[in-house]
Amino acid sequence: MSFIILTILWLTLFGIYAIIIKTISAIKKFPSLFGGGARGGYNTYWVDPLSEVPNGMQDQF
Amino acid sequence: MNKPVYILGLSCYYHDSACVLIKDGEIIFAAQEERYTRKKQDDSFPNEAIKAAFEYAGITIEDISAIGFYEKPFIKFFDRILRTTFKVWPRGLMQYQYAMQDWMTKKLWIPQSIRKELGYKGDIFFIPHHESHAYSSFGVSGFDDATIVTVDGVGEWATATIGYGCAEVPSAKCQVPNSETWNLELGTSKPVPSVKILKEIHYPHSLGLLYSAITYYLGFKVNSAEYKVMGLAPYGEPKYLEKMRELIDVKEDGSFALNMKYFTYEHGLRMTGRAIEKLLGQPRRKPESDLEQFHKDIARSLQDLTEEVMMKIVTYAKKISPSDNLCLAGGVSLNCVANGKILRSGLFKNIYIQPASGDAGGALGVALAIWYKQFNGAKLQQMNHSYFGDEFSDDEIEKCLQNADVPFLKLSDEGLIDRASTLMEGDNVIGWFQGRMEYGPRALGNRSIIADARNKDNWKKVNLKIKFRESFRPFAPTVLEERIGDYFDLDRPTPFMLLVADVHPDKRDEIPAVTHVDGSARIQSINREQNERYYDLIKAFEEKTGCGVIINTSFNVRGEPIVRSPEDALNCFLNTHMDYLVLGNYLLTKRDMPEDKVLKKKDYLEQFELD
Repeated sequence: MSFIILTILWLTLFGIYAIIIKTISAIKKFPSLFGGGARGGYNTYWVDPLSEVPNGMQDQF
Repeated sequence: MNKPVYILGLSCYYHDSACVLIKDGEIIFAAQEERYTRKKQDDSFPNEAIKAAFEYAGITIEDISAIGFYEKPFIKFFDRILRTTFKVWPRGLMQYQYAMQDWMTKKLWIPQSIRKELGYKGDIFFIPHHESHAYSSFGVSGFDDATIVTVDGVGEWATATIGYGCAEVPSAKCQVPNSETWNLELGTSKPVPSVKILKEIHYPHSLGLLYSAITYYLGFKVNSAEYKVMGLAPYGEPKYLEKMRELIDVKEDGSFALNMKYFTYEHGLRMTGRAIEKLLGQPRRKPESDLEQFHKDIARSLQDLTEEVMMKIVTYAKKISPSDNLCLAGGVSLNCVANGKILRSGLFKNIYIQPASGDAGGALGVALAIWYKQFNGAKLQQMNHSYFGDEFSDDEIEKCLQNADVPFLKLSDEGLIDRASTLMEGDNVIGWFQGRMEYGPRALGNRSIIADARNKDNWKKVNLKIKFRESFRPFAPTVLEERIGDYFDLDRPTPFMLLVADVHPDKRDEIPAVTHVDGSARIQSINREQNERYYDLIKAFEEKTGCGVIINTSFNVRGEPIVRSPEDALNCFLNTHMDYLVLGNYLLTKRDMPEDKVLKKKDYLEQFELD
């Protein structure tokens, strides 16, 4: 895929969605929406894993 | 007669591509692709390794019952990669460009690639990256139950996990000791191991990536040279430990979060930026420039921090999934200094770490997971050797030597052991090529360079004149299993060179070439069942000298994958200052080699990218 097409996607689709996500995050004042940047204020950083889906081994997700 | 169940496990497209072939629950072949392509840490689809596996087993793709891939690509891409891209936008354009090219052309098409490359039509399975790691260790540990800890760079989201493995209780309720009911439900009379992941730490917070970031800061290659930082650490003092605590917030339960203002790997093509240079007080070291005391102190501080976090993680793991046994996996589990510390803490009676603990081991993990989860396969015995790769007969070796037109001597089995053990005394360095190639990053006696551990000069000679690598790098010893306690502060076998222990103070002068500057050693033990010829060699050396320890380092030069074939071994021998080469029953002497064939060092070394 060409550099130009990917850059256009980056500026348009990715940009719009990123701005929406960032705005929602800012409104909610939820600093770790992406699991990043968290520091302090937590007792633990361990999280529970996703629950297993029956026959999940056949899926890529 | 029932058709045997062949399962092929694959890992690729990140680093350390590998394949593992299991037949009816027995590992029959395992190898990394880099050994065939001669490109270190090769991430390409492991076509050559698969070809070798099929050839070894005498099967075709039609015989394969299932293929497994060692992670879940859609979770990785649609969840982590895209979310991270949105998070860091508008930064990260170049990383996004590279990532998208990779994902759109290769990584999102795993089943298609498998079917296309192999002509395969059967079932393909996927399990999460860290579950692959967990199975790769617990699945061959031989334990009935174990606390499992996996720590690496990153999989889908997880960068570290705590889990529980059990071979006699349902995986969904690991604490219920009711194997009879469960076995009846599964329709099998044998216990089937299963793994349950209980806790995770998520990207971008990663102990593996922290280690890689500092590796990068110290001017070494990421995903490749982390072990150099570990080897450099004993030369330094932990002067920067307190400053490093600014990089990571560690809780008492071992969980941690990185302070991402110091790391750029989420959006950049580099691991660290100016912030970390400002914090630590010096710019990033340029690759190949001189190492100063500062760099050694940084390495030591990082190593101490890593050990501290690992200790907290395993302590918490023991609390939430208690067992006397610990299975470690993931790239950080190759940190044998930390492993040694965990062992000495006495938290666990037994520790198991399989030799391909990094991503190459994912291929083993997914193959085992399929065997246990899809086929209700019986528990494997403990894997206590790593000789699962190619092997070459004496006829093949002789043909190679004749084609190369080099003089050689063929010896009997007894004659070979006697001659090689005699030659090893003193300052000779020998390339030792025997039997099946090792699986994992360590050469454990079949693709090794060996020398006398009593001669301190051998350390320098092998580093500078044979491996052409940094002078600070230590060498590991191989010790006869029955003599571990005579030399080292260790009370158990360590067949995979994954534990570090102290050399007894009164023995340090006896084996100076394998005693690191802090008095420690990264030990490999050997018994005759694991590797008859290698054991006999060291035993013969011991009978002649009284010393049951030799130097063992991988048969390669810096940046080169470990040799696979007699041709690779011969090339390496001719282009370094190695004195002798033993290929099967054949002995080659450097001084007898034709002049036009030896030491085209520059051309040879240029083939390999420095790590």
